[in-house]
Amino acid sequence: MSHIQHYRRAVCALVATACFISVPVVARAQAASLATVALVRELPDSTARATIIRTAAQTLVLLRERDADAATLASAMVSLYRSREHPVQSRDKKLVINLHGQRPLASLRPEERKVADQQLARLRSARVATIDGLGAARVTTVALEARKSSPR
Amino acid sequence: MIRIRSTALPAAVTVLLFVGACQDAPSSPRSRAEPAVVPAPDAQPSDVRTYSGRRADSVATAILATWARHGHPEYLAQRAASRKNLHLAPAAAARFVPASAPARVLDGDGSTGTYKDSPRIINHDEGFYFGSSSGGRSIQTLLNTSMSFVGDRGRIFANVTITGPGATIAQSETLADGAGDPLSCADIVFGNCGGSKFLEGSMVFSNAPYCDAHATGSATYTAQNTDLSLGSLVPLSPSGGSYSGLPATAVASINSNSPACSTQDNNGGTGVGTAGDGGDAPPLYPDPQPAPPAYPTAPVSFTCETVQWYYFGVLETEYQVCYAN
Repeated sequence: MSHIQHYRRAVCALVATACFISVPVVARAQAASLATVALVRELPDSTARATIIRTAAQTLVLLRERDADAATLASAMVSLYRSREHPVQSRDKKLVINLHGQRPLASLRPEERKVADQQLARLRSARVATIDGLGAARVTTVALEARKSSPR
Repeated sequence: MIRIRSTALPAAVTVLLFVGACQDAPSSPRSRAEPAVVPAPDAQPSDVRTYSGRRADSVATAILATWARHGHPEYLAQRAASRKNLHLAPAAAARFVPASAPARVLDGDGSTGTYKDSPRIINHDEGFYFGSSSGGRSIQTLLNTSMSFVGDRGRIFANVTITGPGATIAQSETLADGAGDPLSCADIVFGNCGGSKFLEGSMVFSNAPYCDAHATGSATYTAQNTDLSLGSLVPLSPSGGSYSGLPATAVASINSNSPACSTQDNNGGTGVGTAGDGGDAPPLYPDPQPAPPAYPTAPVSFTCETVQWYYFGVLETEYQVCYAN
């Protein structure tokens, strides 16, 4: 699947989430079509810009509080969509992606940046929850577009 | 456990509508292969980035794959052929490989001495690939260097000057500096890996001249043992008359010519040179001489992912892959 398709899906997810103010969900058991986005004080990999953790039951996108911006969120969502080409089906498996580098902020189209900025602002004012191993973090939930097979 | 309080079914319905709106139309055409590089108007004139280790490999492969999609699959094929016998240990396994430990041997006088294999550079390779910007494509200029070596640490330093009509870019930078990846390691548990390692570095230029251009410079490869007890880059003391801590160095020249500029494709030429071989034939200058071309404005940024798969909490697989932004 191309970068543009991944990116398109990521932006769509952000748009959808802009309307997704809050939904009753227990993150531990959240459906595969939802992802929890969290602003944390420090990432497990201090050199990473973002971290994505996927298990069979949960998808978690971690952004570092002090340097998260629209491009970081957009890059993380693109990586998340790209990673979904590799399903995590077994409960014993866990996929961790540490992101190094990101799209230049200026490369975002105005509408993409607007949506990402809005989503990030929502995240910065979201409620604080405790994430195992990471401590307190502001969290929101993102609806993900259903995974589809790539065209051949 | 993370609990998020909720409101509304209507919100969820709205979400579904949005998601549905974002679905690709089943009948819409999909592009099967899009360039890994897209133009970015904000690229800076002297934007140069370096990547080391497996990221360097991934970036180089990404750029050469772009060339492959634009009529030059031989670059990628040549690279694949040159690395055919390169057996890198899986990254997850490599992290368990201890640095080559000094071997204690009995000296002639009955005392024991500490020795390591002397550092040496087994071989090295340099590839210089001019970029391109024509016909809607934009490909960055790439210098890829690699070496296999014996030693605790290796370092690759490159000094490159690219000169073309209206522009000169000079860059000196360390492309890679570290322990490297173990090569052909059959016994990762006890570290009996023969001590050979692999180190790679890539330098990516965005706005370098790519036609009627000439690249000169050098790549310097260094392998060195370190005093592990000090945890720093301190050469071992001479031991038993063997200066095993002295670094080994190799220098390769970079000398490559790009093809001539072409007026039919926005003055953009394409081409690749091989460092150290004197490059291609000197470019032929059209008559009349064209105005300095507009050099690529492609971004040189890549997003690199370190992907780790855990199984029952144990790291099973790890790899790095980079994508052009």
